Amino acid sequence: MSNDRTIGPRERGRPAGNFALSGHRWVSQYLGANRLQDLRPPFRCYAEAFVGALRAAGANVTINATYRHPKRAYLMHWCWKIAKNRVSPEDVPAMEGVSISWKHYDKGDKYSQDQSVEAARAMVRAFQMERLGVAPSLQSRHTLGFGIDMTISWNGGLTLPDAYGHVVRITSLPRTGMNRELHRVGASYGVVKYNRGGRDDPHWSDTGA
Amino acid sequence: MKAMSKAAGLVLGMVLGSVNAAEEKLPTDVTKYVEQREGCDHFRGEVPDPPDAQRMREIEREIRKLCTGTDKKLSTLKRKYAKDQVVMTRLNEFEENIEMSASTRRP
Repeated sequence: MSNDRTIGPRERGRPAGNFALSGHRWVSQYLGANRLQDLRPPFRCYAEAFVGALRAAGANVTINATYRHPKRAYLMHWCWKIAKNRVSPEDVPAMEGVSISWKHYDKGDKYSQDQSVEAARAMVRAFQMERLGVAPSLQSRHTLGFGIDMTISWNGGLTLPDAYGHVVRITSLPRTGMNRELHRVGASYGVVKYNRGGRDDPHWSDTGA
Repeated sequence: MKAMSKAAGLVLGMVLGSVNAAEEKLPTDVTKYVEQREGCDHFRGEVPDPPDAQRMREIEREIRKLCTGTDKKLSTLKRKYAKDQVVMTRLNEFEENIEMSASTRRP
């Protein structure tokens, strides 16, 4: 997957301008969101209508994640790749608007591979990705504003309208976001349960991806 | 909401229809790889932030199932279909070298 938001080839020497060295402080930047209003229209409207219908019907809905800033995905991706020796800090492409220097320099102003990699490792630890076996992706339904992770549950039956105004009564199990009848209701709103490889209980999106 | 929902369904149907038609032209081993790799890439985008230990365990479980060996498989398929432009276009959409290198893998 390419990252079309990145710019510039490999640079030599210290970067020009106001660049801050990589390290754990970067992990507090561009924090992820868990609000419906951070989603991108029209998916935002679909999700608001679906979640509104669920809550009005008495379901418990906890939204864990909505939008992930592409800049944060950039930080997560490249610190992992540097820390796991999949790329040299010198070869990480810049991203417009992210003034991070992945390259560190020693007291003699000479590039230090060790310091650069250690700073990336500190970021991986702060993101708690030490055990992760692959690089986090640069792009996802979340970075596009079209993905939502939410925990849904209810007691007894659940009666709610679909997007066409038909009243649907769900009595089947499970009483969670994994209920197939609920998936059909969600799809009517344009909120599609994850339907690709693997199992992802909380994830819904505009396409099912 | 009804009109909005119908529009959403129409767009989704068109997108999925064109994707499916393109995938049908690919060899079986490539189609299988694409399905698995798209699942892998999905979970690569789900790393919990802020960190959440339980969610991370779920993600790591799915990543082990879907991503293990993906770099090698991609490389093998690219060699096999090097002269097939349609296949190569699809395979080139996937990022290379996403797995941990042998030197950094834990014993």
